[in-house]
Amino acid sequence: MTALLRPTSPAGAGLLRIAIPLLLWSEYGSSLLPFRRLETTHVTLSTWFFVSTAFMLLGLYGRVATAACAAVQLVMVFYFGRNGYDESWGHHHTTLLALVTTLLAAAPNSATLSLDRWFEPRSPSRERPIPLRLIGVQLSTVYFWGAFDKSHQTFLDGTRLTQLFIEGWWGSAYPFPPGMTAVFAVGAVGVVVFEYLLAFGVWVPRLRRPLLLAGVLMHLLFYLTLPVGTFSLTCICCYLAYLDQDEVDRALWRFASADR
Amino acid sequence: MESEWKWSARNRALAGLAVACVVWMQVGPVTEQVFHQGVPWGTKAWQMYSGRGANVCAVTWWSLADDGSLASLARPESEGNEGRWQRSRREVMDEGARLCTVTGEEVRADAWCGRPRKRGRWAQVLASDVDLCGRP
Repeated sequence: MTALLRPTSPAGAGLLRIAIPLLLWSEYGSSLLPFRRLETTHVTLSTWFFVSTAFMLLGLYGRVATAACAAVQLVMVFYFGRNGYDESWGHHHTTLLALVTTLLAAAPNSATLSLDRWFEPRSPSRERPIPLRLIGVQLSTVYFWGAFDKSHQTFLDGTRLTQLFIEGWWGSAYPFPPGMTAVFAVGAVGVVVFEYLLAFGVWVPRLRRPLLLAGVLMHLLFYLTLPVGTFSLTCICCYLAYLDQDEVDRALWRFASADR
Repeated sequence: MESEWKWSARNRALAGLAVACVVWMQVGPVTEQVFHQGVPWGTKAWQMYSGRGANVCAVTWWSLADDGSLASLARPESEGNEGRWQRSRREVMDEGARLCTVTGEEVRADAWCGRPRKRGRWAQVLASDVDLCGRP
């Protein structure tokens, strides 16, 4: 408990503050362009979204920008995404982005790697990484309940994976090599077991690194084989929240400086 | 000593807020996945891909030879771009009728379709004893 909550570097929050706007532009950039719908609501959301994400990326008034960005996403996901305005906004990958941004707004996200830091170059304060830990809990929640939802016979015997691949890859008259059913069944059980393991195992220091590495590989596999959108990359970025933030800080400086 | 957690009023409030956040994260999944009562506003059930593709059909296409034997119809999707996915018995029969015209063969099919209400469980909707070319 103490180790998880001891005051640490804001490096992880700074990196997430940069990654999230890029994911958001990938997710919404095209559909939120102001000329897509010449309506007051759309133009307002568009302006709000692009201004807040730009400030967020630059780290200019970073915490305010992140809070504003979280607010516009919450409105889009939980209001416009559910009242028929644009149902794709209420999808799970957009919801995860909105929740992560909301939690990130509570972190010292512009204390490093930001214009705020550039203009006020004092040493960033060390704070308890409670918001980052909550992002970790949110991702563990996604893994656990995602696995729970898949814990039924039709998924575990490989039927659902077969159907996803029929829809995404092969069509109904799929070329079904011998042994494919068994491969999908093993893959399905593996995915469920691994998601349960990720949900809890990443909180065990000894298991964290191998599990996160395997998680990155799993998400990349999903990203390349299924239409998961920004979900995989969002999850990978959120892995920063599980890490020791001082180690993230040191790694960042090793990348940035040849002398250290 | 900076790592020492003191239960000051501020820290208690922070801890309470964090616990409330964690509880809130569980509300949507518990109400929907455990109690099947829907997803309250502001929450998510985290049921990813639970319904996607659950209604697709898996179809094996056959051509009926003169001696009554069935031979696999190779790559029927190459005979036109339409109907790559079938999602019901009706769509399989329509695609079969189209393949009859395109290939000139007497086309038959074994088809299983997923049932979305049964989490995608396969159900056979068509067997190879049905003549798809003789439909009006």
